[in-house]
Amino acid sequence: MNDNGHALLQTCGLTVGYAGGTPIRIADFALTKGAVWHLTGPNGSGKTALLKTLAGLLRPIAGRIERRHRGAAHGGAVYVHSVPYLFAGSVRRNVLLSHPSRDRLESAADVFGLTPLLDRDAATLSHGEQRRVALARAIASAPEILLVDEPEGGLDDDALAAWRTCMAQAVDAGDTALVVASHRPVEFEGIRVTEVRLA
Amino acid sequence: MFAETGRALALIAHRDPEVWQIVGVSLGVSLSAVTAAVALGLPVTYTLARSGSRAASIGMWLAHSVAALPTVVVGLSLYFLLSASGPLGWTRLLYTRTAMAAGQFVLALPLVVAVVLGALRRLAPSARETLITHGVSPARQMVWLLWEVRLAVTSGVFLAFSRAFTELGSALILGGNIRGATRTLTTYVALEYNRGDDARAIALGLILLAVAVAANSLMHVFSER
Repeated sequence: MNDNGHALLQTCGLTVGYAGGTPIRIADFALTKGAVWHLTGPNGSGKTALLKTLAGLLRPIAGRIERRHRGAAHGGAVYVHSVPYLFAGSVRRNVLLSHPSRDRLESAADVFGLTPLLDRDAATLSHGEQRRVALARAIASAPEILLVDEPEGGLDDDALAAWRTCMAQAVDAGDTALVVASHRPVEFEGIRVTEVRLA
Repeated sequence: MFAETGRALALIAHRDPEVWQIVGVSLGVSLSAVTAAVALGLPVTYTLARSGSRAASIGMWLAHSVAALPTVVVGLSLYFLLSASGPLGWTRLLYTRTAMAAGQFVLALPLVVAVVLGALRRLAPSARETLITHGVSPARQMVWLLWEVRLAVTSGVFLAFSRAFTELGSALILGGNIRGATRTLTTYVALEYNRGDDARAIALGLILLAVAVAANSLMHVFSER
């Protein structure tokens, strides 16, 4: 799991897990711009715990994470839940959560086919549409590190293609590092995906 | 009974200035108390909800315990604090509307805390995590999450208002039922009942009932939206 280059974050002696759960030791690694990682492993192997720890939502049980962005609590990392939470109100209100520019909002909505849904009540969306909103919201906030938990559940073929195209563009431009936890194969055309298996 | 009710309705219809002055005092005191309870209660509740399950559990127990206090106990406690020989006697607040509002504040605050804290504890952890991960500031996180539980906030506010507006014990002890100053609907109803003026007591009781029903109807309208 060791990488060199311009690390967005670097771990040292990291152990992750939930209070009262089994601690999971993670080999040291550095996450660089443009990297795409696919986390695999059985249920309970620590995929979600690792993603949440990298996002700053869960404290490491042991070890540390050195981030390039020290100021922000989230360190430029955005985590997308496997079951996303959408706030009351319109799709637009949800995508505007991180105050993206108008261009970013429109671009993210367009990529995920949400433009006609922007003024719709988020509570009336289907599961797949909710996932698209969560991904668009994350993309609109222009993260340096995007941590996505099971992105493909509930997405139809078009949304899946949009998600892959969008991420390929962001990664190709060198703007974003992507870590995806999924039981399914993660493929982006022309981009090398590093598979990391958690025991 | 019918004759008294007829006289009571006539009193309301004739807009007896003293009655409406008392309605004004009652609303002013209760709205001040509830406003203060909401202004303090919401940030305190949010902080409790964020402070882990143990702190939230203790906060909930405390809120339920204080909410169960009899109004005369709250009134007596504040009376001893505010009386001339009490530690806060120098403030000379006893038998003022401020003292009455303080008593109602103590009655209203735990209702706001208990109702809103329960709702915040039931909210999915992913709601706050989503805000954090998108870089939303702590102050804005509070606004977003309280908006998510706005129905509970509305219920808490109206329950607190109902409790404050309809209580008697604390208002009587801390206000003293002084005509033109601290006389409220509940203290006046008690006075007129004791004096045997049933028509006036019924008239004031009807107004009290109308305000309480209006407040609950408003809450229902908000919660149905």
